[in-house]
Amino acid sequence: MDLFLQVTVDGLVTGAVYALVAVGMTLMFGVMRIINFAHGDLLMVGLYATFFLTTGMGEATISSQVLVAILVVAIMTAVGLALYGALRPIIDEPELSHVMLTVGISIVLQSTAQLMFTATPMWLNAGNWKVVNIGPVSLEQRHLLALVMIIVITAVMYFTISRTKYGRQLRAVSENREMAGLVGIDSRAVIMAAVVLSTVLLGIAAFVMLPLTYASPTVGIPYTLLVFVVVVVGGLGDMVGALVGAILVGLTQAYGNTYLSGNWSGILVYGMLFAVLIVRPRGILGRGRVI
Amino acid sequence: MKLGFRYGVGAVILAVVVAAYFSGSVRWTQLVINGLWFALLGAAWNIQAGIAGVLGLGNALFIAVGAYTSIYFYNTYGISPWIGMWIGAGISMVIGVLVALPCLRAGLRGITYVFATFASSQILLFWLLDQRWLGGAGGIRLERIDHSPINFRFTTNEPYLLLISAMLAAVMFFTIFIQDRRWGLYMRAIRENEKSAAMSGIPVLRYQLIAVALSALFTSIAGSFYAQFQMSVSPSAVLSLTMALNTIIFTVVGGIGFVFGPVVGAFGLIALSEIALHLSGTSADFASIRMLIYGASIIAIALFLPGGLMSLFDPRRSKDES
Repeated sequence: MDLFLQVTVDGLVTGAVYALVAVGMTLMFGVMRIINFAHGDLLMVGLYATFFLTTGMGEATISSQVLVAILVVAIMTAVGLALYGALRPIIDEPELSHVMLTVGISIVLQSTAQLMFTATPMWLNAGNWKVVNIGPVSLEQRHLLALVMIIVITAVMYFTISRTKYGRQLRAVSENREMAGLVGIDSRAVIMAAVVLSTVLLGIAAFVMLPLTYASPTVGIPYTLLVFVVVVVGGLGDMVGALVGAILVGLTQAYGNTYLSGNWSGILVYGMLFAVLIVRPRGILGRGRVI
Repeated sequence: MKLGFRYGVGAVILAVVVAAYFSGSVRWTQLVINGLWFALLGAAWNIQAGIAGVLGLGNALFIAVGAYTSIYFYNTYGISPWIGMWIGAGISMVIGVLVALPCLRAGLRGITYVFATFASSQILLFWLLDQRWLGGAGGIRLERIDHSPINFRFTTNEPYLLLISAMLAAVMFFTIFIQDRRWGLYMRAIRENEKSAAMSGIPVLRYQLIAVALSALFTSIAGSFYAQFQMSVSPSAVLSLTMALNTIIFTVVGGIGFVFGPVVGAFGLIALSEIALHLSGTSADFASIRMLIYGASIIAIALFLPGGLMSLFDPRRSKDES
């Protein structure tokens, strides 16, 4: 029973990390109908930014950590603006152009990172991160932070989308870009904000994740693949769905790795992707946007 | 004009192949074999995606099935890879149809179909990793290497060069052959507008499945060729996202839907990477520089030439004609 509890908590934590990474992709798909094959590589940019800023700050204090977080968000805002500039001309092109362009961006980001920082994985000295015990379950402090962050971010995003003016505009643009334009919404600004939000969320994810993982040129690839599963299972463009999908994927991996042998968790995760597409192409909650 | 241009492209590619054949250089023959092999993958993918408009990302699955089957039957039963590759092709066609049928039935098109087919190849990847009898993560290799044409094993690269050229030529001629006949016309009608194709009485699903099966057949043969040329195959070597995407990249850079698109794309990108190699000289970073140029050229094509290199020469003509 203790093992089951521990595995469940581990699965939820993994799911929370996937959700942090996935929310941006599903947000971008919602307004642009573009699947970003460079999503994991943008996370890689965030990880390098966090790594160099943290090591540059020297002694890790609360205030230096906050400063690092602010700077990472600033960098990722710039990255988001650049990404928007690259994607804007092809929004209305067929899907194959989206795949080509984002794959090209992914290759360029990976090879640039390789040229600048070599392939050596860069680990942060974990320093004073401790393990917290809650009853029979033990949890890394950073994982706890990831859980808290995803709850806070989901709450903030949910409020923004359902209650604010920007949220209404975002929903309108997702629904129908032309009609949104006709009622006076500046869809270009809305889309730009969504892309920037997507990369900023990746920056926050990178900041939370770095002490537990490393920065390397290829670190983003597995995340890109898992995020594909998460956003499709949750329903493309559905943000609450992405959270549900991320937790499902996290739990599947945790249970699969513990109770099944070999690579069954991989088969289960991709089997889930395939099955959901066949049975519920609009995602588990049935609210996704399929083209 | 139209035919003249097609002959021109064909002549240039033929000249490269002939030059490599007589160069006597292992490096050059290897390079051209590599280019022709990717062109073959592209030509096979072109049938389903370029002509019938079924955008799949699962073709790496058929490479794996073709490669594993021909090696396994040769190792276990001593069956010549010449026969083994057709067994693999049969299995690939069955898997291809079994995967495509529920997806197409469920109405998956575009990006959702891309994900569903990619999921199928990932499932095979994780399954293969656990199969001891197929070598697990290490994969399998030819246990007895008997150099003989009957065993599809040659001591030099030149026979492989001839074989892969013949395979590619066969697929290209096949594509040209069906293009203006019923199969090709039905498939193109489905690509342009599925609903109106169905309204005109075309059995849409059947012709989509035929396109997938043909694509699986030719990709699987390419997989068996890979196995014989490399003498081994492993799950991670053929079932990666990179492999699946490269097929698409070569085809789209050359021009999707054009018969010569895949071969022009493969030769163009490989020539570019050779130039990059020469420019970066002995620099230790040459692999990264090469990838950087590769990525940048994909971005450039996606932004400025979505029709691919072939559309440069003939921008206004419909993409099936040149």
